[in-house]
Amino acid sequence: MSTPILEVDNLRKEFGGLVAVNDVSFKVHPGQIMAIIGPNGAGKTTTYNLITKFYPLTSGNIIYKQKRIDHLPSHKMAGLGITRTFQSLQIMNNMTVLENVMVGYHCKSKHGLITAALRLPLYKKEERDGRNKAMSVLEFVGLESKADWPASSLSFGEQRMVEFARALVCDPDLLMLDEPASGLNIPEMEHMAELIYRVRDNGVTVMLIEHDMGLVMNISDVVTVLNYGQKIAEGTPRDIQNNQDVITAYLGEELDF
Amino acid sequence: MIKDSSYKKHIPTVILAIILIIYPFASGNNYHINVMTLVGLYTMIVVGLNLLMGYAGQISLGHAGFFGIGAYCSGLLNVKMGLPPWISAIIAIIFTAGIAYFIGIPTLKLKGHYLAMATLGFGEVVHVILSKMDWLTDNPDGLADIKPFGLFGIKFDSSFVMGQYFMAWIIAVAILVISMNITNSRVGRAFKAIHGSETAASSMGVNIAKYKVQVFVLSAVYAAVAGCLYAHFRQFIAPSIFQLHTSITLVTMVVIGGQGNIWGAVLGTVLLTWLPEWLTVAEEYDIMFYGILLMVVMIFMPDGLVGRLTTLFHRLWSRFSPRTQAEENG
Ligand SMILES: Nc1ncnc2c1ncn2[C@@H]1O[C@H](COP(=O)(O)OP(=O)(O)OP(=O)(O)O)[C@@H](O)[C@H]1O
Ligand SMILES: [Mg+2]
Repeated sequence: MSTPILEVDNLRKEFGGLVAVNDVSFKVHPGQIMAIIGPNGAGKTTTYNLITKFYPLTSGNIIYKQKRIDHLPSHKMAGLGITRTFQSLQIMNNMTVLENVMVGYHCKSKHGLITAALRLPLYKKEERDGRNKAMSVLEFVGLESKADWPASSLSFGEQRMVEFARALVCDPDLLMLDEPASGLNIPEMEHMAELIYRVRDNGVTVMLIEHDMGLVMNISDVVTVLNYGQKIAEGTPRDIQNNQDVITAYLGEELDF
Repeated sequence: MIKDSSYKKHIPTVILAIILIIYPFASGNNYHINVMTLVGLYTMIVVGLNLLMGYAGQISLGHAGFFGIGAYCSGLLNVKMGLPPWISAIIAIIFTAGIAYFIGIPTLKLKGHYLAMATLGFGEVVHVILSKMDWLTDNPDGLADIKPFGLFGIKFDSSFVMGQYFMAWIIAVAILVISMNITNSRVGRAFKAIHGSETAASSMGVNIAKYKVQVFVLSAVYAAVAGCLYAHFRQFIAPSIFQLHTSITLVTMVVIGGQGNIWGAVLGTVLLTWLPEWLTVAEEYDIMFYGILLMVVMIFMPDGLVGRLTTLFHRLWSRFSPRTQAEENG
């Protein structure tokens, strides 16, 4: 098999006495949609926060494109090609939709304070490129007509799309989605699933945390299951549906595959 | 694909420039022109504070300190070392930027009330240091005999009211334009993104600590520019203006005018400088007046005057513009 784009090795996070992520290891292969599932509080979001450096690791290694990245700060991730969305929406309410998405272009551009203050050629070029790129991504998610709206005036589902667009604008290699469909209605969810597919078809590797089992089983190539911080299963959607440990972990919860 | 509407965004600047050019001739009152010169200086500081507060979502209750460092540094270099005002001003601005950088790095790690208290403390430390300067200034009241700026043999001293007025406002408008360029750039969006969500900003590659320090230093530089002009215009400076009272006035100007809107800075400064004059509020009560105004604005129009006016304008616009209505309906 191909070399993994991301390799997580014995990832561990303790919050005081609580072991939120307990020596979890997995690999993500390029071009795949890899889902992480698990009951509430299983450590899925924490795993994302560790990979994207929002929390320091207690122990473990993170290897991305065959380089260790666990010592880098979170703002270096986008430049390396790792972007993400958030379970608890992180929309900049003080900005328009277009501006929100253009923040995603930050790591693709490099003009600084003085270049901007004096409107030097680099500033103009990067502004134009960033704007065009952001508009094309907004078109892709179907929000181009609302580009100049204040982001706060959009519906919840549209805001999820803005976050999705923002994470796409710098052409990431690894896109980490944290419950992109939660809070969406059925048509919105179907739209989101289709977009995730299309992103993957464009060569982006996708990691997906999702509670909606229908969505997960439909679109993912590999599923990793966490429970109480531990990895309890990994395999194709079909394997997972028949895995006894997984069924037990979800016991008591509504589970309709 | 994107239509170029750049001519439109110059309209307010041009209108402002026209008003500013006409004003001193229409007024003809030297006292009023001097007040407007002071408004120009305050506008510089308030624009910077607006970037810091309204855009980047930080706060400073110590900007009178940077104003003071700029003024005293340029004044002292001029009086004590005989450097020409232009040179002493440039050194003073660079020096203030350096201080802001070293103060900013640890301070901007703090948030909310802690940041407010730390910057307040900084401002008061500066005030105390300036108050104990008599060993250097040879004058218990302040620093005297500062030379005025000179340009082509013309002295910009206090008798040249028009000269000071135009020098102040040319620099203030330049700062306004530069600041607007910044807000419409990658850097300005990084500032706003930090305000909107530090989490999202940093996941998109924005180095939060770096941009916080940048906007802080920038705002301190604007304050230092105002300080240098103030010192060489007045030719005498005393510590009393460089203290908390002024810092709070500056913050009030930002809030009243409208945070996150560069034009708010101009409106807030003009209004808060002239209102007390019109209302002839006694000197000791003006801070109380500001306090009440601050409360009223925070409660009834948190976006400030310009924010409120823009919303009203948009509402009227969408009511009377059939095109927009059609767009909204279908
Ligand atoms: N910053 C934190 N400080 C302390 N405990 C935390 C922190 N973040 C998460 N936890 C705890 O770690 C555990 C795992 O949380 P996490 O958010 O990763 O779960 P999750 O799998 O994403 O759950 P959900 O499906 O509800 O989003 C939970 O018990 C949570 O309370
Ligand atoms: Mg979660």
